[in-house]
Amino acid sequence: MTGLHHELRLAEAHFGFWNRRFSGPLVFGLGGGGQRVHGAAGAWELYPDFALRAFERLGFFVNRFHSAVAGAFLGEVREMVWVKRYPVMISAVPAGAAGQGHRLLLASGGRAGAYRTLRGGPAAGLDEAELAEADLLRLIGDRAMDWAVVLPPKRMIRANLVLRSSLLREARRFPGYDAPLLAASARTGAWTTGRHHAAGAAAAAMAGCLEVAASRLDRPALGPLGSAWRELGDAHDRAAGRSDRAAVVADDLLPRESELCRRLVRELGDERP
Amino acid sequence: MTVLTTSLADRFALGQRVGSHCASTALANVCSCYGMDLGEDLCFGLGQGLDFSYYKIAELSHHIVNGRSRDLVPRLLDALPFDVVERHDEAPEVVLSELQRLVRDEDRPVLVRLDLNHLPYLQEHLRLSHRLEMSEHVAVVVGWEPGTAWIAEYYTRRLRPLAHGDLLAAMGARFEPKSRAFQYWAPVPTEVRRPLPEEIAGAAFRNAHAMINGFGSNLGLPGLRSFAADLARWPDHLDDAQLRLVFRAAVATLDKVGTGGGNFRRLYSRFLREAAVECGVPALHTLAGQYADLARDWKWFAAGLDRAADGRPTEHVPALARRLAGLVAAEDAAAHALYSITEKQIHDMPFRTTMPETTGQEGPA
Repeated sequence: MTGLHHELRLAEAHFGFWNRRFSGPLVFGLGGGGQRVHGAAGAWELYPDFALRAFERLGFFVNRFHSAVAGAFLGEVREMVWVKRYPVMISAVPAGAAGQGHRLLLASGGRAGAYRTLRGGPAAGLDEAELAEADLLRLIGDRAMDWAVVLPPKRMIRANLVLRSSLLREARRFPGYDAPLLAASARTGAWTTGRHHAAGAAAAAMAGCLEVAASRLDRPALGPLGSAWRELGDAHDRAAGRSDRAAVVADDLLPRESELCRRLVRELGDERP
Repeated sequence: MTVLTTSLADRFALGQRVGSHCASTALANVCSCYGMDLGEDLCFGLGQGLDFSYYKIAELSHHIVNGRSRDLVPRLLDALPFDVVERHDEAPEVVLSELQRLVRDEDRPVLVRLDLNHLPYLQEHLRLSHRLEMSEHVAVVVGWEPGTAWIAEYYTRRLRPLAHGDLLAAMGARFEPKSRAFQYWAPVPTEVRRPLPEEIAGAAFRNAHAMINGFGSNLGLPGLRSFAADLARWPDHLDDAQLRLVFRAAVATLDKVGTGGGNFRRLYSRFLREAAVECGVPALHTLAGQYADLARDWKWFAAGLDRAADGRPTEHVPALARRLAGLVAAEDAAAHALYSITEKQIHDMPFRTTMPETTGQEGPA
């Protein structure tokens, strides 16, 4: 699950900064990471900003910014990191890596004007470094970018409540909405190897989340459901290498995921007949 | 008078209602266009519209004092089963081509954030005696023709034509802190249904949480307390002419311009009445009365500001500050009551497990 591993680690580190020991897969579930994105410009097999959405759903204040030119925002970043001591999460496309979403967590000020950073990309994985401002600018290039500062509330909304409603929400949505759209895109040949791997990574994260949820929510049946989701992720990875993958998606993988979603809704709900 | 007749405009007109606040009316009409009859009050509450913002921006002649959340649109779209295309800060030519694709080609209503000073028809409607910087106005684009966009506004069922250039100017301007240029949302429902009781109670709980835990000294109850503390000190650094400007702007944003009267508290009160029935919680009905009282008090406060602006503002400040101190205490009590009622509800409430029907549909409705 190379494509998502760095996102999960960054999410975990970001929550860790605010003394919340949430694993990456748990943050994935809290932020509704399993939500598909269907766009004219392209489709995503997961919701890319799941960590920020998890913060929002837990009652944190997420201050989002946009800068047309990378250098233009460094003044504000300096104030956040050095004066207010908040971590800054940046989504950037680094120079020379077109098409590769890249995230950077500026955790705190390092030595002599440098920034302690965690940075990661789908291909590069994750690394920790201390970067001077000039290196930082070189890394993010001169493109437009989104960045965010997260501020904690006095009291956080109970994580288990958010987890349950987030999981329910995405599971309710998939069979009737996402699955037909994904099946249609599979029929047009839009399912690339990359999409299979992304779907595989998302399913693995979902599996990790359900395994945590089984104990957090005291619903042991979620454990085996997590294993079933992990198998689904493996099936996506295997399907990536097949020539008939469009048919595999439409006839096998999507119906399997829909069924898992229905089971998840049944396990999480407590509506009495 | 040219009248737009397209399938989207017709579909939109069928469920379109006139409302009291721009964003909640726009959202209710978009929901209605997709067959979800929620109404403005429910949209306001589900979008966690209750808030208080207090900012002084160096470039502006007046302070921003306002009782609604600026995140109402994204919060409502997150609270309901919607799939949303959200864009901001794109190049103007990209904005135009995307709006054309969404509205004209895909028949989807698009919510846009606009600056009211670039909307001549709204200026005429509001008849403000002074310039008011407000770039958080929300309307719906429901028609797209060469050179002209057709806009649905909250106060009329008649669509307003707006030249593409004017639309871009209104979308590009921004004054409020952190507001985004060229921001728009194209939502499509993933299932058509009423909001569930746990979603309504959850939204009210989150709203109370945000109000109590407002960040910094600008938002929520902390923002209101800052406003109350500053008001008493304004005469120390603002002369009568400046105070008049500040007071008139505050009257507009607290009461007159699309607040539903009483700093959005009347709207929230109506939401709570509806929530009491939908969630089966009578305590919310009682609380609705508290918010109706707050609406009345805010209206009186705004009337006091208005009178002060007509006379010698400095002389009125002590009385206004006393009245505001009472409002702070009442807002504090109401927000904490909302928090405790809804906190209990969302922890006791069963989650519904009914699955939506599979439609087999392959694109937006």
